[in-house]
Amino acid sequence: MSRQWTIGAAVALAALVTLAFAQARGGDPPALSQEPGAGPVGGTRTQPIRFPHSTHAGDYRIDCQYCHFSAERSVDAGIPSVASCMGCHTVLPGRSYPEEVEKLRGYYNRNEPIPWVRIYKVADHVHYPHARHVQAWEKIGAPSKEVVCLECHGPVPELDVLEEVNQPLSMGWCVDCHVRTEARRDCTVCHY
Amino acid sequence: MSEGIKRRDFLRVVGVSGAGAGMLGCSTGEVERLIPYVVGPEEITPGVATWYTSVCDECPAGCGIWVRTREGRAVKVEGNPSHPISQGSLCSRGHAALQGLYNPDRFTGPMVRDGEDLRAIGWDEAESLLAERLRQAGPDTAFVTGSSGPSFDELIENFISLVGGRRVVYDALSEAPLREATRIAFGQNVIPGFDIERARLVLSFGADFLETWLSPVEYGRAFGRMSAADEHGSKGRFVFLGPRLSLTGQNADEWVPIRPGSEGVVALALAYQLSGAGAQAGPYAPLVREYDPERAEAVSGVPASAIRDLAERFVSEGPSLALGPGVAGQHRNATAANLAVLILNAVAGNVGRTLHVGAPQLGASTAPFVDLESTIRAMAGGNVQVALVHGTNPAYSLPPVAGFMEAFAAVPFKVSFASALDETAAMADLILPDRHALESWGDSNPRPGVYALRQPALQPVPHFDSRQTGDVLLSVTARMGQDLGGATFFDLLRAGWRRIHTSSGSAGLPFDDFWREALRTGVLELEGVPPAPASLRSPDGALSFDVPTFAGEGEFVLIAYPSPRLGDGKHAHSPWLQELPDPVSKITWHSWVEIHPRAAERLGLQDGDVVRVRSEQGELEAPIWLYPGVREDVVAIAMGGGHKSYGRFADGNGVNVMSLLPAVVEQPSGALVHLVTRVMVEPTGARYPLASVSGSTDQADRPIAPAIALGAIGHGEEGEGGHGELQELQELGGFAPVPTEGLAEDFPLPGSQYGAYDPEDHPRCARGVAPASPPVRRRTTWPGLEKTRYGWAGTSAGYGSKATTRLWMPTARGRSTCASFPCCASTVATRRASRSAPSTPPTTLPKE
Repeated sequence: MSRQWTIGAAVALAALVTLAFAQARGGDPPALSQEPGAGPVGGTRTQPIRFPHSTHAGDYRIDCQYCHFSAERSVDAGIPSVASCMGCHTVLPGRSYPEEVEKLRGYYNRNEPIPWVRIYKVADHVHYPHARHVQAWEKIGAPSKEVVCLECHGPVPELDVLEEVNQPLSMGWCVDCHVRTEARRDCTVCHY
Repeated sequence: MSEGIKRRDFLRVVGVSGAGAGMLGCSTGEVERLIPYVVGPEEITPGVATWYTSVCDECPAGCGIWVRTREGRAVKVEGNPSHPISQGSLCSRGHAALQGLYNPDRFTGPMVRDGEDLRAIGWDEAESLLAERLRQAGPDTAFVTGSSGPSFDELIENFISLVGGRRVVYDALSEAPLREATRIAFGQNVIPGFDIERARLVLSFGADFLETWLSPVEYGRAFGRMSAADEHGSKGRFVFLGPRLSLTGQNADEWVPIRPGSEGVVALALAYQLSGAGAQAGPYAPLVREYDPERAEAVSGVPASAIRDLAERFVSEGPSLALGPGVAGQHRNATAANLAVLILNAVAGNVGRTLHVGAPQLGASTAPFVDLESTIRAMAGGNVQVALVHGTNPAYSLPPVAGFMEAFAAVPFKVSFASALDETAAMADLILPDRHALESWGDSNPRPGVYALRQPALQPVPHFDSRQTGDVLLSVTARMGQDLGGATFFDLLRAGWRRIHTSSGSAGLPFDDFWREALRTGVLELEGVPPAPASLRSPDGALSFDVPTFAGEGEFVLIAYPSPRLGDGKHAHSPWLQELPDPVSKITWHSWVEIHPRAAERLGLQDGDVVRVRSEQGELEAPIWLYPGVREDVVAIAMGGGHKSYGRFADGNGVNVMSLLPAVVEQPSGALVHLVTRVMVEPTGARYPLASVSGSTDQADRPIAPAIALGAIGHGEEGEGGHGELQELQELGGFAPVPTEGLAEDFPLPGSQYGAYDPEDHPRCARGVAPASPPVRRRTTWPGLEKTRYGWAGTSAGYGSKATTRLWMPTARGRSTCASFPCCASTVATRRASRSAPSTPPTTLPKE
């Protein structure tokens, strides 16, 4: 009887280990653009275009929600369309990295979306609706709605290219803030 | 047991390594991409749904819908709350419209027959080909369509009068006998409007008005209101007369299982009783005089005393309403049966109160089969050179003996506008796939003064290169050098609505604003002229009201009824609907034969035994399902199964009951007769496991789902030693009234805890919370009573003078967050309303 279970356990363990390795190795994203100079795709967190947040949000004080247009009304903050980048860069050649602006124009002229690398991501079983958090800016303690983004995303206006996540994005981190701001904490607030 | 790993250790090891694998899976460092739009669409905010109003096209009833789209794709269909037909509801077939839209068996583009196979061609070539063939065929053209909205209908009429030939409307489910009966009785060639909500006693002679009859969503709403307890504690009653208890019948307070085909005789006997032996039946007095209750007893099997009783109630419990037999009851004398029901309504004074001839139901299909029958003869005789088929599938839905397939095959050039493969399209020489309704423009006019626009809720699904048939017809006409008044169907639709705009009296409003508003709200309601009163007119022809003879041999009469899920078979391509258990049998995917348990016992058959059902026209094999809701002398089979070329989800599932029917035309309406033949039922010895989700209907003497009569509840609360059933439930442990006074703020009850939660901010719904409306059934069940810690309570105004409001309230030890969910908001409101009512002393649950 227990012999059967022993064999079964060995087989199951082997299968799970194999599965785990297979998962760990299966992380290659699909190649989206082979444009030379577009940055290596796959495996790394290199952005296809060196987009300096420090220039846009820092030096020029462009409101986050000018580009991330739906943060106040959607669960998604909104990734700007290529056309909205071109709204300025049709005429602006780019101060920090002019060659990167050329890449942007290349995408636009080819009618191709820019395959940005996602930096901020909570686990799949967590919901993070942007709109709710932006609307609660006062409760969160932000000086204004425009800069409430910094509470979770860190000092983005001071960072050059976003390639590393600069916040823990862990459950404890979320709950800490929910405790501090007296936000609701039942499981289903985030896990639904 | 010796060494090694035991079962418990095994689970432990597997559990731990599984968790490890899961953790590894989370930390693969996979790079995720955020893909923006190149140019952002104006109406789309990623993450936020955009809703569009439209009109459902799954049946002709014309329900207004809201289509929820996410990032430009339709993901959900709901009823439009502002639309008077759907009133925010939608039936399962409407909900499944999405599966027609994304049906993987849709045509990927226009195709032309090349030998045995179909070959893809371009739209240009296809339209030129059609134009050329039409020019050659001229008047030898036949255009077979289903019923459609007014603008498209007008276009087809104009098109066919331009190219010549004949136009035929054919729908498998047609209420032609009811329309014809209304014409005979009241002189108006329409389907009358039925006000079920206003009636206090409804008699249905087999009409399945909650499933497929005329406008099921509208009637479902009306029936819900009619049969709910009002503030005085009284509810409307519903009596179902018919040989088979449909889902509608199961919702009745009483079932009178009359013999198949005897609806007309029973209705006339009721009229006889009401009209003083026919004296007050106006022009129908001589007719009614012949049908006394004793005569009805002899042919219907209903005791004359029961008929007299029912007749008395039909007046005393009024306003009342009687509804006609419906498609499943369309026999050789169907027009007469419908007429008898209308006479009954007229005699009881319902015309103008609950039955409105002047406010007709325009949405229902009333196309007579007889038109198609003559076209079939023309096709077989070689008099049709080009046959066009749109929105209907006669190769499947007609009895094979009608000869459609042979005749259609003889047509030299056959064109199908089907958007997905069906049996008729499979025979076609040219396929010009239409857009799905959710991708198209159109309109509807379900009743006088009510107009609605169908607008595309999304760009056409790119995989399917489809083109709206209206546009194709216009383009083909242009290629023939003619003009039908617009380049696209959209232009014609706008032109038609300009006329509505002019006649609507809103001339002050610019047309563009008027159009936008119609699109925004999804419905336009115009003040109608008050309907002229209708009264009975003398019959213009002799009709037989007697029970028809059923052809063929065998002890059973065959009932072929429209399926509440698959309709006439049109919806069989939807796996949602295939998988949805039939509301009566709980069977999914395949067909079954309903037979009474005693009849099955006589034949030595059990559930799941495969039988051969044989008529003079054909035979089929299907498993039986024992159902005490059919009479012993009938067997019933649902329509909609047994497709041969309807895509991967429909083909091969079940049997097509139409193969048993002869192609008999009812006179004078011209409808196809469905209740027409006897069948032999022979055991085959084979068995087929029923794909039923109900498991068992037997509670094995255990209180799994205890039930109590609605009337008993009030008695139970009157004091000690109340009604037996109530006491029984209380002894089971779960039946503990709690005080129902107080406001939402009074909860949680002392000793219980809820998470801080603001229901207004987070609208969500808890599972397992019973609806707060009063129970409307005679017997109502509360599942799992002895296992939960929920109490049951209610002291608000309800049935009779006492409590019936069904509230699931957490008891002191309940620790449920139920009351903080918005689902319970209405129960809180009920509680508020009942604050002044005397409270019931709380009793606690038995200790564990």
